Amino acid sequence: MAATFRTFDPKLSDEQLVLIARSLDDNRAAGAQLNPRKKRLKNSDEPVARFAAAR
Amino acid sequence: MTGDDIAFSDAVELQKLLTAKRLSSLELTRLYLARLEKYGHVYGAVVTILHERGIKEARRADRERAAGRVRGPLHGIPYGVKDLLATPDAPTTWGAAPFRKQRFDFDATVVRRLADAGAVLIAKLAMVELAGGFGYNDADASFTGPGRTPWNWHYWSGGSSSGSGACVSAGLVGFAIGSETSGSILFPSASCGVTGLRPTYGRVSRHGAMALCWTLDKLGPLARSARDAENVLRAVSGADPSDPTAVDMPLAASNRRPRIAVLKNATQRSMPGVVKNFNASLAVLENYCDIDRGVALPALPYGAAVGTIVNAEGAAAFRELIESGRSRELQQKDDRYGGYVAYATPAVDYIDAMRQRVLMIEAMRGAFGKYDAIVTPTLPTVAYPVGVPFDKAYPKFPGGPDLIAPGNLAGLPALTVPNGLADKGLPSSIAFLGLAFGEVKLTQIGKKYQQLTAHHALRPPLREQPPTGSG
Repeated sequence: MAATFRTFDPKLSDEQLVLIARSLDDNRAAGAQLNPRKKRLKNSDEPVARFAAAR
Repeated sequence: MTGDDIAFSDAVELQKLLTAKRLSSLELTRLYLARLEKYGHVYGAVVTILHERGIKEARRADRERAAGRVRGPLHGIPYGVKDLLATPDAPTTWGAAPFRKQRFDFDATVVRRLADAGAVLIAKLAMVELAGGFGYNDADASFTGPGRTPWNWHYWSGGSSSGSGACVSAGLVGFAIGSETSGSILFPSASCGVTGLRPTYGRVSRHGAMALCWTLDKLGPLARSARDAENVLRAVSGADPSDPTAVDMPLAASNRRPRIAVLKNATQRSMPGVVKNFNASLAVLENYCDIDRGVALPALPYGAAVGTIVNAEGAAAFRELIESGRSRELQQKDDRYGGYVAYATPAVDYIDAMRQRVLMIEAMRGAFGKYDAIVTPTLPTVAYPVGVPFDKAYPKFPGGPDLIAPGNLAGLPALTVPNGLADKGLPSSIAFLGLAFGEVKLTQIGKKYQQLTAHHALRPPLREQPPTGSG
C-alpha cells in the first residue's frame, strides 16, 4: 500500500507512512465494530439503497 | 440605532427597518461590506468579499421595493455563503489550497433561490478545507488560516462552516449558508453562539455545492434567530431537477404543545457551565413543552458508521486530488495523508456501514415514538482553543451520547440555539433533533425559546486586530 501511495506522492515521508499505517489499523477496528462478532449482521440485512430521510 | 445595533439585528428586524424606509438595502449592504473588511480577516472568516455583486443586488432590491415589489422576508438582506457553493463572480475554493483558483460559471441552486427571494450575496465565507473530509485534528485547517470565534480570538469558530458561524456571530452578514455532513452546521453555530438549522436530507438541493459525501451532505442556514433560520429554509428548500435527492415537502407543523425527550446521560462528562445552561434551558422549555427525561438510543456503532461512510464517499469524491498527490498542498498536516487512509477504506466496511444504517434509522424511529424532538447539549464543551490538537483540548470532557452521528445517518433535521455563556465566557447551546421534514416544529420550539430568553441577542466583544505578538 505504501508503494501505491508513493506513486501518488513520491514525497510522502516514512513518518507519514507510519501515520497512515496507524490510521488504517484504527479503520480496521472501526470495521470490526460495524459487524461485531457477537452480534453479526444477518445475511438478510440489506444496505440502505435509497438515500432519503426516514418518513 | 447605532451601526452595531443594525448589524446585530436579525433579518426579521432588518426587514422592518427596510419596510419603514429607515434604511435602504444599499445602506445595509455597505454597512456589512465595511464590517466584513474590518473584521472578516481578523477572525479568519472570509475568503472573498463580493463588493460589486452585493452593490448591484442591493440596488436591484431597492428599485424593486420602490416599485412596490417585495419578494419576501429576505428581500434586500445581505448574506454570505460557505465557500463550497458555486458562483460565477469569484473563485470557489472549498477552503483548500489546491482549489484556490477553481471557478464555476453558474450559481448554485441555493444561491439562485436566495436571489429569487431578493437576498443580497456579499461574501464567500471561510471553511475547513474540503469540509473536513480528510480527518483534520486542529483548527489550522484552511488556506485562510484558523477560524476564530468572535467571542474570544484564541478559540476556534468550529467547523467546517467556520466563517458562516463567525460572520453571523460578529454581525458581518444578515445570515449565512453552511453545510453539514456530520456536525458542520451545529458545531460552528454552537462555538459562535448563533442559531443553526440542519435540514432533513433532501430538503435543500445541493446542486453547485462541493460534494463530500453524497448520502450525508445537507445545506442549511446559520442565523441570529430561529425565525430567520426558518425564513431562509423556506426560501431555499424544494425539488430541483439538478439534484435528484431534493424533494418538495410541506414546511408546516401543528400548534400542539411540543413533546420533548431528553437523551439519557446527555450531560455526562460535559463542562460544568454547559450542564448548568442545559438544565436552565430545560426549565424554560418546561413552560411550553412536555418533557420526558432519560430516553436512550440502542447501542449501535454510530461513530464507526459515519466515519466509514465519510471516508469511502469522500475518497471517491476527491479521488483525483488523492491520486494526483496534491493533497500534500493542504493546510492541516493530518489532511495531507488522511486522503490515503480514506482511499484504502475496505468496500466491505462501507457496505456494512450502509447495512447498519438501516438498523440505525429504525432505532431513531423507535426512540422518537411520540416525541417531536430529542434534546442534548449541542456540544459537551465550549469552543476549542486554537493551536491545540482537538483530542488534547478537553480530554476530561468527552461528553455523553450525542445525536450528531445518529441524526445525520438517519437524515434527520436539527436546530441548535445558544443558551448562554458557559466556561471561559464562551457560548454553549442546546440542540433539538427532529423528525424527518419536521423542521418547522423545531423552529416553533426555538422561536418560543428565544421569545423567553435573550441568549441569541448577546453580542461578542469584537477586536479590530489580532492580539500583539500573535504572529
